[in-house]
Amino acid sequence: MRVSSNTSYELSLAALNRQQAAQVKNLEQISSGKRILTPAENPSSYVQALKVSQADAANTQYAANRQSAASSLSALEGTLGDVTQVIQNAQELAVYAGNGTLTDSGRAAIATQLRGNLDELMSLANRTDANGQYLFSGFQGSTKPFVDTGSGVQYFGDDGQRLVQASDSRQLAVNESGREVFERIPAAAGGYQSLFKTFSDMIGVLEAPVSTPADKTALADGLSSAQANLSNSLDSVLRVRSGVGTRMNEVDTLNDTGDDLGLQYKQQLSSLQDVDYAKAISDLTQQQTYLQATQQAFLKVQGLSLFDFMK
Amino acid sequence: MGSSIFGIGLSALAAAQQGLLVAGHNVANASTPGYTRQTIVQSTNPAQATGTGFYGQGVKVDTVSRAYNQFLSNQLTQAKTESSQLDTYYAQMQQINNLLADPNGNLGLSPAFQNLFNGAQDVATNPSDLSSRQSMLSSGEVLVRRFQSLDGRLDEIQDGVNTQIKNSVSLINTYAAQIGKLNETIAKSENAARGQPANDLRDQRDELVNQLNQEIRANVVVQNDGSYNIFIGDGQSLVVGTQVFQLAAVASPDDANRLEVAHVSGGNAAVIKESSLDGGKLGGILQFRSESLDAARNGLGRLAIGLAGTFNEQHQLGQDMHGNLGGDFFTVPSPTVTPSIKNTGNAAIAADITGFSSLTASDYSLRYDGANYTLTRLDDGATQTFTTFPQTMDGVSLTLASGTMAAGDQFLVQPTRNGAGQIKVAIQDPSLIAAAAPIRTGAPLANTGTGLISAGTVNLPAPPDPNMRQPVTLIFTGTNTFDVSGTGTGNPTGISFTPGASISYNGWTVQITGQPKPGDTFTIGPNTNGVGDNRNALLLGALQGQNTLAGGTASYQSAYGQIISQIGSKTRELEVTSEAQTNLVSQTQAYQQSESGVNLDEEAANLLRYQQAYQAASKVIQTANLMFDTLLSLGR
Repeated sequence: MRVSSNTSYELSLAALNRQQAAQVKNLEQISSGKRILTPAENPSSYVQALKVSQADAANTQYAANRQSAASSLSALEGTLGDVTQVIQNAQELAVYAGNGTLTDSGRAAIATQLRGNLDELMSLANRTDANGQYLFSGFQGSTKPFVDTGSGVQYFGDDGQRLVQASDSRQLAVNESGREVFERIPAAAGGYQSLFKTFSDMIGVLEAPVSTPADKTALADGLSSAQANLSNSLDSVLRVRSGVGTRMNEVDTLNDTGDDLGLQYKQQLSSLQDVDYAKAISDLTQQQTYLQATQQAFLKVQGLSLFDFMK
Repeated sequence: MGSSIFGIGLSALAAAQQGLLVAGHNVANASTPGYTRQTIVQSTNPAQATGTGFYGQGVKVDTVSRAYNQFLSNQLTQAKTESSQLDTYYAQMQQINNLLADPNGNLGLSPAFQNLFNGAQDVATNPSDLSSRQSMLSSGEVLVRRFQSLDGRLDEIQDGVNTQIKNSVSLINTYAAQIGKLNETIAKSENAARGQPANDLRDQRDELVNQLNQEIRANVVVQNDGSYNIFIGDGQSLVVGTQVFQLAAVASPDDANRLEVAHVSGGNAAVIKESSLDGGKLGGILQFRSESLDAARNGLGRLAIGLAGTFNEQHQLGQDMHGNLGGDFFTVPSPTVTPSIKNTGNAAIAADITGFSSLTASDYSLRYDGANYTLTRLDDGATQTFTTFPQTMDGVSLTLASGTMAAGDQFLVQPTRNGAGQIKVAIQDPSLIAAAAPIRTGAPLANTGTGLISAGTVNLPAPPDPNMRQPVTLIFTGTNTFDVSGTGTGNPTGISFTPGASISYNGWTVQITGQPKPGDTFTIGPNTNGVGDNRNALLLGALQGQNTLAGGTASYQSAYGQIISQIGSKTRELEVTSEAQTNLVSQTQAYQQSESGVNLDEEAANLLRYQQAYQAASKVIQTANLMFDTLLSLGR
């Protein structure tokens, strides 16, 4: 076949262009560390990488959610621990107050101590978190949940429980309603009685002077029902507290799973996107060899001309 | 006898000289685009008949011919017009492909989506924290700006398309004018040269046809007199003999921002059907616009509208920090309806999106024939015929806003065209984010049973029931029955109770588990002061994973993934096909050039040949001269 001089020139040039383009592409991959730079290079891998990085980002967000949940739960746990101590303290006082050798003034002193405990209990029940939101007011974060209205302490919160998205499929409650912790406590006399009422009733019993046998019976009855109610309260608080503890453990477990998942996502992303340096560099060397060969062949072919021999 | 040797020598000298001229011309034009190798065609002069035989009278050059092969040239032109179309389409696609590329994963739409939903989850975690709320709003703003900037870039690409259409049209007009002129010049020159072919002019004309085909596929019909008639599109004539027609880039009757190609004849510009204009840069750019640019813009628009609409619907079911029901979080972009400028009626059509999940990425055409309306989905041609408004197709409801329709009137409905450009965040005040649910439930301490009431959920879809926040009480009258009292419920009595079953009134749903006792009550009421409630924020955050779009088959991210995958695949396809076509061009060109191209070695050989022929012819003359001298010296 005849070959026109233009054709041989153009074909050589096209080959040079092609090889240089391949080289530039390879250099881009090496310098960016990414195998896929635009969707067109591998549409399905690119979209897959989008999905995986979305899942990875969501996983990171769940970790942040869990961290916040963990801090809310530990604040809750700490407060419930303090409440437990106050109740146990009151239980000891109730036992001590049953000692027949105590005088009215001795009982009054215990009552004073109990008043202190009640104040502490009120302040625990009205504790706020770092954002100034009440721990025990349900959904009404900025409403003070427990207020002494004169006719006893009343609850102004609600039954709401805030959930946090702790993983793809798990929502964890991070607060407890004050009604559940301090009010829904089975009473010795039937029905429910609030912890505050138990305290104020006990104070009332201790402050009443004892002189007649009827007074003594009333004192004994009052102290025994106070002990029963305190014990129920303790059970109730410990039950809530163990629920909180379980959730804290679950946060830990979910953290481990989340970390594993994050690692998996990163590996998937890397295998989808990242350049294989060994391969890329060996490709580059190969391309260099091809390019050099093409360049030299081009020079040789173009250097051949009959005109050179015309003298 | 002697003079005839001179004659023969001279004829040989002249032929060799002409051979040298043509070889020199070939060398000179070896790299001229469109040049066809020329050769002299020589033959013997008529011989002189004598009694001793026929004596040759030397040589003559009949013509200079070009090594032109119509078949191969046509093949090459066709291959090139195809290649030019694919290259142009590919180059444009790369722009969109690069626009959507986000190799580091922090600038694209996808991370912006992620941040919005992360923001919603942060609000869920700290519903009363204004800084979390502010950060969710800012994430919304960032997402909206990403949409707008993508749309802005698509606008620029569309402007670029318009510019290219103008350029192509003007080049086509120039080439057509030059071809018409050459038709005339070639005829004149060849007449003057008594029918000898004007090779270089013909090469020029063929090269112009070739260049014309780089812009648009053009059919050449060779006339008996050798002139070229050229047709494009559906057979619109561009050149007929020496008569030249013009093309014009005119604004589309349906959309003023869109240029279309029209054929100008007798002062009238008639728009040429876009689908018939293929080949060349113009074909490529038009194909890019109709197949991919519009699809990309509508796809993004659908995503923006789908997000804004579905997010708003959930947001409206919540309650903000002030205790008010949620409003719009995003401003939902509205569809555009453009009446054709040819309409004779004065009807105005209004379009509203009523179903966000049914939206498609297609445009629609509405036509009235005097009795019936026909609504056509343009991407697949599906139609609906109806006689009265309102009419809904694919989640878009059309109404006759004003005026009356005349037969033949036409409207272009683009539900999603402005979606990406016009989506906005509707609220600036972070306290207006509806993170809470508008209701809460409660059970008084007086209850004696073990019944527990769930926190309650708000029923989809928006808008919420007007009695949603009316206080409602459920009173158990037996272990398995209860009465309901509260505005909006109709106060039904004796409802049978199943533990855990859904109880739904006034647009909310609750469940009661355990075993309530007769006399137990449960309340459902407004979530007054519920600033610590995050139930709606959790639901907003969960929208991310839900299939809210494309008829409930795609989440936001997967809808975006589909756009990416469509564009990526199309670009990839074009890369491969345009490369294949380039190879085909180069093979065809090699064939065509093997016949018509100049080979410099060959021309060097020709130069040597004709040089030697020239020298030999000189020798013939020298011999004749010597013979003559011999004769002259006889007299001395």
